[in-house]
Amino acid sequence: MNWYIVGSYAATFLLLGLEVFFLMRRARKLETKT
Amino acid sequence: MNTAVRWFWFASPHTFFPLAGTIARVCAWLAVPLALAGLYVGLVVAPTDAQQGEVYRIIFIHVPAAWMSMFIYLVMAFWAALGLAFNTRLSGMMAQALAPTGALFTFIALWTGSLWGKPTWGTYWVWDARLTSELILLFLYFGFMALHASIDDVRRADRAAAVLAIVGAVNVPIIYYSVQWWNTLHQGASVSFTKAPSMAATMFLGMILMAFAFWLYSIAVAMVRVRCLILERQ
Repeated sequence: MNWYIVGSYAATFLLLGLEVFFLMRRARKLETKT
Repeated sequence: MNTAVRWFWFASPHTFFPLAGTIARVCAWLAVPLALAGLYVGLVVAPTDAQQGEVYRIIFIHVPAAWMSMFIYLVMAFWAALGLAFNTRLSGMMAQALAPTGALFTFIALWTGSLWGKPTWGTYWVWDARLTSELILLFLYFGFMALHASIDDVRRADRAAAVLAIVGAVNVPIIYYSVQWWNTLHQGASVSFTKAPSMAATMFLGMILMAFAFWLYSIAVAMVRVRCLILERQ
């Protein structure tokens, strides 16, 4: 197992996933409010 | 409706709101299969590199992320300039919506580059021209977001942050040409518009697929964020 590759891919998709999660949560809150 | 009228029609946040939702959905659904295809080609199909072994596979996220970090900044500066020139509300929102995603891709480019640097160069970080200018790009994104957040009046915040975005755009060609202008540890450009790619065709394909996936992801996320900004500013 090459930990440099695992660290790169895991961090990338974790960060992109977190961005989508928090953005969708913000969008849902706003859309239910309006 | 002629083309000019349609541009102005969609320049209004109210009319752009449903269009942004459609664009976000289409781009998100296209980004997923492209990313899966890119990962498959990059991690399974592409051959092992003769010099670097398996660790070169970081290229399939590092290079597309670095491209996106620079490209998003230029698009952000474009919208910022449009907002300053025409005083359109949507332009400021577009610039504001792009900044966090641009900062994220800049961080990813730095992080993956660091993890690639250790096994190949023997160090996680070196203050060379390419790395330092990319780090400055991250600070420019942070500066843009911090400046925007520090001013309560959003229209004034749009204008102030727009000036920073436009001035900071000078850093993008510096990043791109840094490997030519200075002696750096970083390798030269992976892909050139004027020369055929020097890497294996499957390596190139994997990189391009991931670049398109990141590009569509960025559009989708920016569109969802601009919808949030439209609702928040109402």
